[in-house]
Amino acid sequence: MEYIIHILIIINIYIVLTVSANLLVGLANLLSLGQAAFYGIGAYLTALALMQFGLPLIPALLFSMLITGLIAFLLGYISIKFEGDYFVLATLGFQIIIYSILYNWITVTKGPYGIPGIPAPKLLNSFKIDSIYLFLILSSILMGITVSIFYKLIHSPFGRVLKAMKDDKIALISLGRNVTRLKIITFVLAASFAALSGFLYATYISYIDPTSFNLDESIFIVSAVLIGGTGNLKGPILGAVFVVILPEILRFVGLPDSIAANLRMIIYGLSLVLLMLYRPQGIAGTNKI
Amino acid sequence: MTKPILDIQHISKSFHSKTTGNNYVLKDFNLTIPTNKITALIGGNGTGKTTLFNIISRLVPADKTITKKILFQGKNLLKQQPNNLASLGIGRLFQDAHIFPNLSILDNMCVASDTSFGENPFDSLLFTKKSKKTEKTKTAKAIQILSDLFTNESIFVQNPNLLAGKLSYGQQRLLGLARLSMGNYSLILLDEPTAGVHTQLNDKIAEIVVLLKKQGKTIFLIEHNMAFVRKIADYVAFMANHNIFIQGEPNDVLNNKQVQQHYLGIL
Repeated sequence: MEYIIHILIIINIYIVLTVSANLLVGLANLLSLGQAAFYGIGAYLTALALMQFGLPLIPALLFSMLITGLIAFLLGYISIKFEGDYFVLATLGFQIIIYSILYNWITVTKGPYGIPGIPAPKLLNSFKIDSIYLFLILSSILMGITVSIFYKLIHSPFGRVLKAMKDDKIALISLGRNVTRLKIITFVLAASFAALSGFLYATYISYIDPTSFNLDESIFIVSAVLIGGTGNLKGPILGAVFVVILPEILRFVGLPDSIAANLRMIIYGLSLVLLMLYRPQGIAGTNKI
Repeated sequence: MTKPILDIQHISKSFHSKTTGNNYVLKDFNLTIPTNKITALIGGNGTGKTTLFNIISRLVPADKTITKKILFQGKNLLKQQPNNLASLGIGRLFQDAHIFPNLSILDNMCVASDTSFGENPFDSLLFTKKSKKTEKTKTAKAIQILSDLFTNESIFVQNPNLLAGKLSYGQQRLLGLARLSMGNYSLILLDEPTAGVHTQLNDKIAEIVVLLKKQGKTIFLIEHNMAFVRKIADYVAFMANHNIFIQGEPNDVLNNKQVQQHYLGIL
């Protein structure tokens, strides 16, 4: 039973990651390879908030999301000026820089040794979320809130103007819309919710190290969005479920770990190639990349 | 000529080439556009008409000269950001359709509204009531405009929720034109409104352009279709050699011998 709950919690964490990345990749057409960096920043800020400041759950979560959003604003302000492939490269560079900082700033992040013993978050200074069952409830609530916020955004005039930006940026500018501001807002929103995933991850696993937030993880997040589909919410949710469940299925098939790991990557890669060829909007998506 | 709404002064645009030096598209270009009139800019391909529109729209920079100015109601457009032009009162129809194919006809109209409230996430999440009210007003205005401009049998009235990408090219151009009625514009730049459109739709386009003028808007258009120009234009300016060659009333310009020889091909 605990195994299934563990899988559900991980799915919840990935749904928050893919739904927020979908806003960037699927709606705003900003293919970012830096989402894992914000996921990591959120996780490390959570450790800081809980271990150094002793903040309860909600203030720690808000602290993590707001500071990550602020960092994203500063980075977005610089990188949003780049278009297309240059933007991808800018976010790639940012991902590598953040990973290097997490890996080498040993006095703060403990580098490759990671930060162990992240305490369970407390609700109202007394009620500790310290069991896997409580954590499933917490992660489900936060995932539910995230999904409903993004559902509302996608179906709001904000979502509409993002779709318009993806279709024709020049036309949108001529209609008086500030495309740079729109992109920055989207970048900051996606980063803040990636930090929410980081909060869930750090408090659930109670140990973080830089390898969980490297470039592979960023590619993994984008792949999950692309496989599931972009432009709506069904796609990224399906993508998150797919990438979390696939390794577990391979485990049940009884393949040795070394083969299963490689096979998993082959299946992800193959899925991407086939989807780009035959269904560029992903399994359940509406927008083509 | 009535008081100008747009005063283009000393605009040059050149592209540098190592072999041929500076190739001018526009050279010390000057033109004034009278208020609440339809002014047509005509001339051969590559004479810089669209480049001029792109400079006015701030999508392309003009060459650096001290005297250059584009005054719109007294404001120098060369100091504005491209996205500020709509709020100043300048709308534009591009040479290609430039509609949003993945949005419905109605959403294309609403995106073009002069009210952008609700288009940032905080409006949508925190001011739900006001956001919904604004949206309702925009939608009602869009539906009203579509039913004013098109017949009840047209696709725009029958199926406004159809994706704009499913419309024919001519219908997309009409949508682009109709979209301009959603903004609060006093000057509208139309870049070849009849280009690539079936002749049957030309009358409808002319009707919409004239209607926009009747609403008090000034129209500045680029066009190759001379029948269309004769039909709707109050003034015509002919471009040649990077500048205005002749301008005036349509008959004066279009009956000018040199215009006929060099551009219209009448010998």
